[in-house]
Amino acid sequence: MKIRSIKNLASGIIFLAIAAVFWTGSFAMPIGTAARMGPGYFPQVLSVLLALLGAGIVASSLYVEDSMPAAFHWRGLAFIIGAAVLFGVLLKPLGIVPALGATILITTMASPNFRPATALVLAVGLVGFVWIVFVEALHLPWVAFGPWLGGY
Amino acid sequence: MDIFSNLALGFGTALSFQNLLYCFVGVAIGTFIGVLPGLGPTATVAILLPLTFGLEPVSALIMLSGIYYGAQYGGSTTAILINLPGEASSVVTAIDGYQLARQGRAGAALATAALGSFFAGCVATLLLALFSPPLAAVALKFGSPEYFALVVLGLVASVALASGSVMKALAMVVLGLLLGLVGQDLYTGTMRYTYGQSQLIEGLDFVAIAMGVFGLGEVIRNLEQPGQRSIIVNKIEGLMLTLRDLKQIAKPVLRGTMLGSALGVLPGGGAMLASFASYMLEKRIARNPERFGKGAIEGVAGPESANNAGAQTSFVPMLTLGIPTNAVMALMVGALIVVGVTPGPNIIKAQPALFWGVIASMWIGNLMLVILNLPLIGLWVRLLRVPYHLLYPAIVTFCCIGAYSLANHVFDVFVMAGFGLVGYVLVKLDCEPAPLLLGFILGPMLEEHLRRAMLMARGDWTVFFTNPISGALLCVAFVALVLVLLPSISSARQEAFVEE
Repeated sequence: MKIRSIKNLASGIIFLAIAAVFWTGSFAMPIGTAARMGPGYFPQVLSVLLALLGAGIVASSLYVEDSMPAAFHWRGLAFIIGAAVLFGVLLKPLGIVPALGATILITTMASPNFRPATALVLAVGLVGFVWIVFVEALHLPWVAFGPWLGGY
Repeated sequence: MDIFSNLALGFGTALSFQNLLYCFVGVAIGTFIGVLPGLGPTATVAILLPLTFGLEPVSALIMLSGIYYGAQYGGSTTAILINLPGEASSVVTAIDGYQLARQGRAGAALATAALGSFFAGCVATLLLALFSPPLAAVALKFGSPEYFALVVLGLVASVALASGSVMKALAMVVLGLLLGLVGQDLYTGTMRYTYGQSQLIEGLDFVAIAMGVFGLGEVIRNLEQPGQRSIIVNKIEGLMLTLRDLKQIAKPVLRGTMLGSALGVLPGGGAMLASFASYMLEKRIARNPERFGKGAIEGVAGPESANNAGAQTSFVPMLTLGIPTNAVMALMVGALIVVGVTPGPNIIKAQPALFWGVIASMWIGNLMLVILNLPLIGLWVRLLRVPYHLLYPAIVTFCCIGAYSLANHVFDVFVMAGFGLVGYVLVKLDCEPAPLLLGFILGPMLEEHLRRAMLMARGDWTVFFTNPISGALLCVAFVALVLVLLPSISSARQEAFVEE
């Protein structure tokens, strides 16, 4: 027994785990019969199918020759996903202007090529652009500064 | 003939000032984003989708298709000039196009791509106009068993024709189907996988998913390769093709157009498969194939015509059957549903202005592309010089703003971030994201027709095989699946995709 494809092993395990989540979740819903399928019928069939495929992919990791998965770009991953999450968190309390500004500054940290001044200029420019296009031109009902900053 | 009055109606719609404007804006923004390295058509369409939500359905679809072929075209420019294809469909263009650019013939390569694409676009648009109505007429007679089988075939074929492991692609399809279940069950009103979250009642938003997987995921992947871009040309000259060039590209363009039009209709086909197939064909029948890879102009002419033709004809199954065959078409279906149109066989009869207007706009849009790209090439080249690190914060910004603007829910931003992470990890493990999106879009349709067919057949599973059309379609799907899983074929298939 030698694992030849880490990629297949890992992705197979991920699929198995997701299948397990959907499978357990399907018990809460009536299955029904083949003629009158309940809301749980299709989910159950699909989770079993995904589990079978996941198991197959895990098994295939024993004989599929494969390269190691390429290293994760942790810096990019952390700052890009983190920035998006931060935007979601800050948007309501702070309003779009500070939330977006902070988000852009965080995204710039994903690249080694930024100096603080460039990042700042870019953030101001982008926030201004978004404000002009989406709020001034398209009239989206967005709040510039939220409740934490004296807005509404 | 009927078709002329229909086309007249179409041009009447597409030539209205408003629609011309949306077409132009779509093509221009599409090219603009498409030229930016590392953003392919799928990501471009996903990111720009929210822009169209306030529009009339016709204008929305006209603008989106403009964005799509604009992005496709812009991607070829990037591929030729800096050897950095935005998406798989321009990978092959980069092979010979970049070599031509290095030999100082970037102008010829760009002109070939533009003219080939334009020609292919015209032919494919005509084919779309000719073949959609009869296909829709057939599809109108389809009942639930046929539709179920058609969706299954679409999903299986999209897996079979994609690159990479078949099992992983299938798993991604099923994962997409499962994710599509989240929300209220349409038949019984039961909540499925909502875990008490009111934001989940209407399900996950497909645009948020697409922006996460294709937008954010792409940005992170691009950050992995720092600053290896170099533009070798400063000034593009020689945009005029010589008579000798024209002779050389005429036949590849024709062949590419035919091949691309045919492959575009197939599920999972579309632009990418078309360009690969065309390149291999040109290389195989060339008198001296060793020129390929060293700057053969046929290697640009064929695939560029093929991918544009394929991009155009992939609208056929989407508009006539309501079945998207690739990720971009899945996005279009989603966008149409948002603006209140359900794509399907009824669309031609029920909304002729929409259907024919979009077709006419494709032709106009292709013309605009030529005008926009050849004389203005200098502008796009300048855009290529903007370093990536100044661009990606803008991309992330538009993803965040776009996800939020879908329904003014912060929740959609979190969904996008989550799928950015999931998409990045899965792509690292060689699981392609496109099948997931197809499954997500087609899932509700698949379940609806399954349940309805079984209800009418009183729980008799054989209905799918006693019905001749659905039986035939399911057999084709089954055979396709068995074929790609056979070891000998699967290895040949891998080679076809990694060639060059």
